[in-house]
Amino acid sequence: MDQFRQSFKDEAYELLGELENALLELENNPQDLKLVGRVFRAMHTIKGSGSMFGFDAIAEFTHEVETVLEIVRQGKLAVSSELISLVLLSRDYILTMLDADGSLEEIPKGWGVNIITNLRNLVAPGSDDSTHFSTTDLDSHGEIEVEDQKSIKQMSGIVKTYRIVFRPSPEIFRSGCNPLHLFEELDELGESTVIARSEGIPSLDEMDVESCYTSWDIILTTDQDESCVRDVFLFVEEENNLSIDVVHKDIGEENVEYKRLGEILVDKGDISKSELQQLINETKMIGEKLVATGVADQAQVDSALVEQQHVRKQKQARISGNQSKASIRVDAEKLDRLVDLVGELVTIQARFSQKAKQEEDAEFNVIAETVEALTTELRDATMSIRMLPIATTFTNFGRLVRDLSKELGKKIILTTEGEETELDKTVIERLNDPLVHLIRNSIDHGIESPEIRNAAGKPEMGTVKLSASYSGAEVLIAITDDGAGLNSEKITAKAVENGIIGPDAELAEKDIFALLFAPGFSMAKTVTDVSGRGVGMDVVKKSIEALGGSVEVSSELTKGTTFTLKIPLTLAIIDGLLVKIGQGFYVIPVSVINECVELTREEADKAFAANMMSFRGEPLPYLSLKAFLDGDRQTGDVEKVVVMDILDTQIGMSVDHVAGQIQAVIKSLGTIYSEVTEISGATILGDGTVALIIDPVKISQLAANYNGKSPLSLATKN
Amino acid sequence: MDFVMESEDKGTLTLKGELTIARAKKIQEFLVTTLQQPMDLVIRLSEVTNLDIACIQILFSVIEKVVSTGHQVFVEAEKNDVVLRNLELAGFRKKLRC
Repeated sequence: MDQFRQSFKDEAYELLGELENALLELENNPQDLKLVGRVFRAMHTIKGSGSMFGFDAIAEFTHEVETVLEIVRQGKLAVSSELISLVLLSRDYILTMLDADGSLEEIPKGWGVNIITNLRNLVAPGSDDSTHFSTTDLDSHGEIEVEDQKSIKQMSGIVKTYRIVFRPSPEIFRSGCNPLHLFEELDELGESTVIARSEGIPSLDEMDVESCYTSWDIILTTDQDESCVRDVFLFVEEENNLSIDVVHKDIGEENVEYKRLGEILVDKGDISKSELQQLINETKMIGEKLVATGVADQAQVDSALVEQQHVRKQKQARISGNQSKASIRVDAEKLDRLVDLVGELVTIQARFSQKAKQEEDAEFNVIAETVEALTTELRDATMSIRMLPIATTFTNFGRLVRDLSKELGKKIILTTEGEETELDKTVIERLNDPLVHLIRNSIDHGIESPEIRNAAGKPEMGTVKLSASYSGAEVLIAITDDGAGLNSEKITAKAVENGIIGPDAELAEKDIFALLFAPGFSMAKTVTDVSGRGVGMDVVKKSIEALGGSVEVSSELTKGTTFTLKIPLTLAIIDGLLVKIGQGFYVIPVSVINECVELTREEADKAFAANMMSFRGEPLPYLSLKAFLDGDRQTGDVEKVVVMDILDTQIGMSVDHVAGQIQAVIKSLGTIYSEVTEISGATILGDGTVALIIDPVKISQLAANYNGKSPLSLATKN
Repeated sequence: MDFVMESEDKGTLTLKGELTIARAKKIQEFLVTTLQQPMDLVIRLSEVTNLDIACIQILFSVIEKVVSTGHQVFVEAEKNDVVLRNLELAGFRKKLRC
């Protein structure tokens, strides 16, 4: 049972995400009935499944919210900002109950009651529909006792096809009912085919235009139960003729043929069994025979044919959908374990390959090469399973932007781009907090109030744009606002005031913007709930750097600001170049490497003296990694230089020996080396030797203050 | 534009704006007068902004009348999503030949 409860929770978390997105869209498109339908269906499914798996408090609370949504669906209550806020709060309440495994003990008392009371108040003024609420009692926890548990409808989970025969009274238009709205609602429940029975429509000059002469056969395929389908006709069922029958249940029997035409007509009562049997013996098509003999008219036959085609089409679509989109839900911990095991396999495979080379046995080498190729394929396949589109993170921010902009009295819209960009699951999880900080800052400090924007000739509605794109083995994530932009003079003045820089410091604009990430720096005049305490931006920088990434700022006064995060695709395994420096092995990420070149001793000496080397006739910044890491210079006639692209700048770093390309399974160095920022991790080589993975970005930054001593050796001595 | 009916030349009928029950009587009267003589007919619905079942019934009746005299009828509603959607919902899209 626990397994089923967990499945319900997983599904409910997804539905709550869908609910939140639909609500945010609905707020911008309050007339869109399809969005109301999406909100209603998400709530309805949570209620039905919650009740089924023993989450009674959730089912009962959701029932109350659903009652209000039903009134909205019927067009009797308009979608308002207040309604959206209350349903969003309801969503938060359900989420909290889910987190607490359905228990109400840890949840603030009265929270649920307040939400329901406020929802009821929305409906009550001047609306008869307040009586539609079931008479419920709310206890101090917000638990609701529903008198009529039968009213909790449940989704069957089985896809059914219904035949709905709707023969409205000729007076239906005069009662104010527009049947098109009913059909639209049915269409929202699933896939529908509407067959109009027009044989009763008189000639033009005899027609009373306010009478309805049409009746309908509707074939609907949906996973909703019959009561849900019947609800669509709630207000018209009494005066009009309605029948709803299940004509087909999709229970996985893919090869079972749907009824033949004659069977459908018998089923509908259009013809008798004996009439059918008599005609079957003739040689014409059954439809033609039915019409020719007057047993059924053409309209009846057409309707039955449409029904047959509808069910066959839905069946086929479901089968091919099942075949092409088969997926299973896997526990994330199992996936992490798989990645760990693949990591171990990659390490042992490297050892195996090395052993094969030493043995100089051709057959052994062939096997080792095959194992290596398969291991690489397995590694890529495993890593791709963990890759998730960043949309999962982006969509969560819609709510944040909505709530914060309301709180601050600003008008802000969130736009997104490149949501399909994929990142490792671990990276995505760790990106959430830094992105929240940056978006909060954009809203609080970036986007101006509507009055100021108006005065500046800008649209009242500010925009925060989140975009993601690939850049080699990295992903660029940009948070752009069209707000006031950064004022470099004010930032400099504030930094001087806070003692972060001296009064005489002369900084380039890029360096001035980088001050935003200094610990304790804040431009806010007052501390708000949103930002202004000077913590956050430095934490953002540290978090991004901990991911092996970097953050940059660009801004134009009055136009806006962009924060760009550069993030590695994965944290688990990288392709690296194994190099030897002194007695140690190091790995340089292949993603930053352009090429390897050699310098003669004379050229190397010149390069070391000037910190610049000549590269194809052009000067190139040069760094001796041995001197930087070990404090000694290279010796020998030739020096190997690895040319890399770092933060849009080419730089050459010399090493003693280039051993070749490897797959490096990244291992953490542990907290004792947390201050050694130029080393991002370690990996174990095939022979068991440990190689350090260097962070070329950090090294190039530290090299600016390089004083000839190795920061690494200094750090390890401490 | 509330509602416009035009019979530009012989055999072309253009309807624009709201084709709903509130205007159904006027539409019926106009069509009964316009379609006195049997002829091939093109009905243009491209600029119709709303179409309900009362008016769909009228259009269906017009088509039946034209066809019954051995003439042809064409309904033009290309790119008019509202009209096409409402005809589809009401189950009349094929019956109105668009």
